[in-house]
Amino acid sequence: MPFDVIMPALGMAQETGILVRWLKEPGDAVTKGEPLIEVETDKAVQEIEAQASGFLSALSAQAGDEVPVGQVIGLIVESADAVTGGAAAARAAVAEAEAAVVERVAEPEAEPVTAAAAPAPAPHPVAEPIPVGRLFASPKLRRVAAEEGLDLFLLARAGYAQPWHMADLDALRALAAANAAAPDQIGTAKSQQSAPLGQTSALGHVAARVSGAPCAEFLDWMAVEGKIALPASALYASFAAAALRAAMPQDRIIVGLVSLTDEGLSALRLLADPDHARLSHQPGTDAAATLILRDLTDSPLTALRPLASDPVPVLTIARDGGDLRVSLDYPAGTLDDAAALSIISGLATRLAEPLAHLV
Amino acid sequence: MREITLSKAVNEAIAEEMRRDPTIFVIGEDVAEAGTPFKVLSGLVEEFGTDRVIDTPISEPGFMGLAVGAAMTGSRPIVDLMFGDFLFLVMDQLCNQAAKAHYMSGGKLSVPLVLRTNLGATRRSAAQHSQSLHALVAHIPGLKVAMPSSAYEAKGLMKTAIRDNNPVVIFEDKLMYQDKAEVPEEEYLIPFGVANIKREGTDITLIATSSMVQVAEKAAVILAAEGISAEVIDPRTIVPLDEATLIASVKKTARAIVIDEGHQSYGITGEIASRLNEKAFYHLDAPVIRMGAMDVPVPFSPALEDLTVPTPETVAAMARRLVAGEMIHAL
Repeated sequence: MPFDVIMPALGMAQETGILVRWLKEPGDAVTKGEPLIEVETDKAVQEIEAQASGFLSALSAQAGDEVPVGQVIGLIVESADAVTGGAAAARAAVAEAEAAVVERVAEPEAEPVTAAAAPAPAPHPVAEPIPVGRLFASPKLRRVAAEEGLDLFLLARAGYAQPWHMADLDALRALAAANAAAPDQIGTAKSQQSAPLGQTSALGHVAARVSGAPCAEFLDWMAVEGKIALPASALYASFAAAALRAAMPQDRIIVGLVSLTDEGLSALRLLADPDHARLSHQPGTDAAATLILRDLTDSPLTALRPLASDPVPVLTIARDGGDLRVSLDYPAGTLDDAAALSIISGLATRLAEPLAHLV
Repeated sequence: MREITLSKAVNEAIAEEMRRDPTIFVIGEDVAEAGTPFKVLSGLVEEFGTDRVIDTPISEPGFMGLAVGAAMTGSRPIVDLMFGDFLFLVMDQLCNQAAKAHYMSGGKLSVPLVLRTNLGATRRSAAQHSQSLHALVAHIPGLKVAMPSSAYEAKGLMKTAIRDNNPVVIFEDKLMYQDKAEVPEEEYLIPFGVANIKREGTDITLIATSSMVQVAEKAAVILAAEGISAEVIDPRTIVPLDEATLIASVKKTARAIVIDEGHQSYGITGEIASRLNEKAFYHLDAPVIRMGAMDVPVPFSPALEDLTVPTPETVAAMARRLVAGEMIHAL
C-alpha cells in the first residue's frame, strides 16, 4: 500500500512549508530514515527523512512550491513498477531545485536565453531563497571558520539556531566534511560530463542588484573633470577583477570581456589585470580568461544563460530599470559558494561606491 | 604565615617606609591621635611625632595643595583623604597641579606624592560617603592608580606607591579594613602594572578590581560547582594596566566579564572591555560584559544599596549566560 509523503509541520504555528528540493528522484529506492526532502520554514531549512521504505513516486510538488502542512506531495510505493512520473521531468525538477538552492537573491530569475534574443518571458517560480541576512556568529568562530575554510552558511542550512559559538564548530566541521563528500548538497551539481549546450545543471549561481547611479555619476565625473571618456565596461572589468582578487588572491587575472550589441555578442576581448591598470588603459592579452564578464547594460536583457562550454566563472552585468543587476554563474569546480558570494558582494560594493575601489 | 588585617598592612607599609626615609610625612584630617576613623594609622603619631603625622583643619583643598608643594620641594607626602568622595574637593590640586607639574616643568619638578583614600558602598554611609571614584583619576594622564584587593596587596602596593616619583592614588575598600590575609614578615613590594591571576580557569575570565575581586572569586566557586571553569584576574593597578595578562587570558577563555565597583557608565569596566574588544576581538566567543555599580547615587536604604553593586550571584548568572552561548544584547 502506498505511503503518503506529506509536508511536515516543523513549528507550532506553521501553516505552510517551502519544498526546497527533493533529495531523491521518482523511481529511486528509498529507505526509511534516509533524507528525502528539504523543507524551509520561517526559521530554518531542514532535511526530512523518509517515513517508509519503497520507491519514490507521483511527485505533486516541485522545488520552490509553498505547500500547506499535511498536504501529500508524493508517494512511496512498494515496487518499482508502480512508480509514476517521468524520469526526465524529475531530472528537470532536480536541476531546477539545485539552481534554486544557490540562488540567494529574493527576486525571481528571468528565463535565461542562450544568445541575443527576444526579451525574457515571464519569470517562472523558483525556490524561495534561503535567508542570508546577517549571520550571528561569534568573532572567534568566524575567525576559526575562515582559517579552516568553513562556510558558516552550512550551519544555517542545517538549521542550527543562532547565534553560533565555538561550541558549534564541531557541527560545522562535520557539515563541511559531509558537503565535501557530496558537493551537490550545497547546490553545485555532481558532475558536468557531456552537459549539452545551454544546460545549467552544473552551475552555481548568485546574483545581486545595486543602484546604477553611482557608476553613472563616476563616469560623468571622469569625463567632465578628467577629460577621460571611460567605457563603462572598462570600469566593470576593473571592479570584477578586484572583487575576484579579493576573494581569491592570485597573481594574474585575465578578464574576458563580451558586450551585447545590436550585432549580437561581441568578440571576446581579453584584458590582463584590469584592476592593476589605469582605468583609461585596457591592456590586451592573449592568455586564457580567468573570468568572463558579459556586459548587457546596453541591451534590454537582464539575464543570459551561460554556455556550458565556458570553463570559467561568468559574471553578467545588466541594466534593470535604474539598477545594475549582477550575477555570477560558476561551473562546478571553478569556485566554491563562499568565494562566489564574496565576489558578487565585492563587485556590488564597488559598483555602489566606485571611489571606494580607488582607496 | 601570619595573617593581618588590611588596616594593619597599610599601617605597617607606611611605618616601614617612614623609618627608611625621613622625608616621608602623613597629612590629613584625624590622622594623628585619632589614627583615622578606620584606625588605619593608629600608633604612627606615637612613633613619628606630630611633625611627620600632621592633623589638619577640615580643608581638603588646603592640605592637598600644601602636600603638592611639599612634594615638589623634596618631601614625600602621604595625603590621607578620609573618604574617596572628597576627591571632588581636591581635583585642581591633584589633576591640574600634581599630575602635570613634571610635564609642564620639562621634567625639572616631580611630585612624589601618595594620596590614600577609599571606595566602596554597602556600608550604609549614603550617597556622599559611598562612591568609588577611581575612574575619575584614572582618566587623568600623569596619575597612577592602585587598587589593592587584600591586605597582601595593600602593603606591597603602598610601599611601591611611596617610592614612586609620580603622584599615586591608592583606593582601599573601606569594607575590607578588618579582612585578614597572609602577609609576610619580611619586606616585599608589588610592582605596578603586574596583574595577579588569583585563580586559573578555561571557560571565562573574570577581571575584577579591589572590592570586586572577592566577589569574582566567590562567583568562580559557584561556577566551578556547575562545571564552569572561571579565571579570576586582579589587575592590582588600573594605571598602569597590565593589558598583556588580560588579553592572554581572554585569548584562552574567549569570554570575559569586567567587574568593578565604580558606576558602570564611563567607568573602568568600559575601558578594559574596550581594550579587549580592540586587541582580542577575533578570540572572543561572546561580547565582553561590564558589571559595575548601578548608575544611581548610592541609596541610603540598605535593601536598595545592596542591589546597586555586583554580587557573586549576579556575576555567576551572567557568566552562565555567556558560557551557554545565550545571545546578549544582540538584537
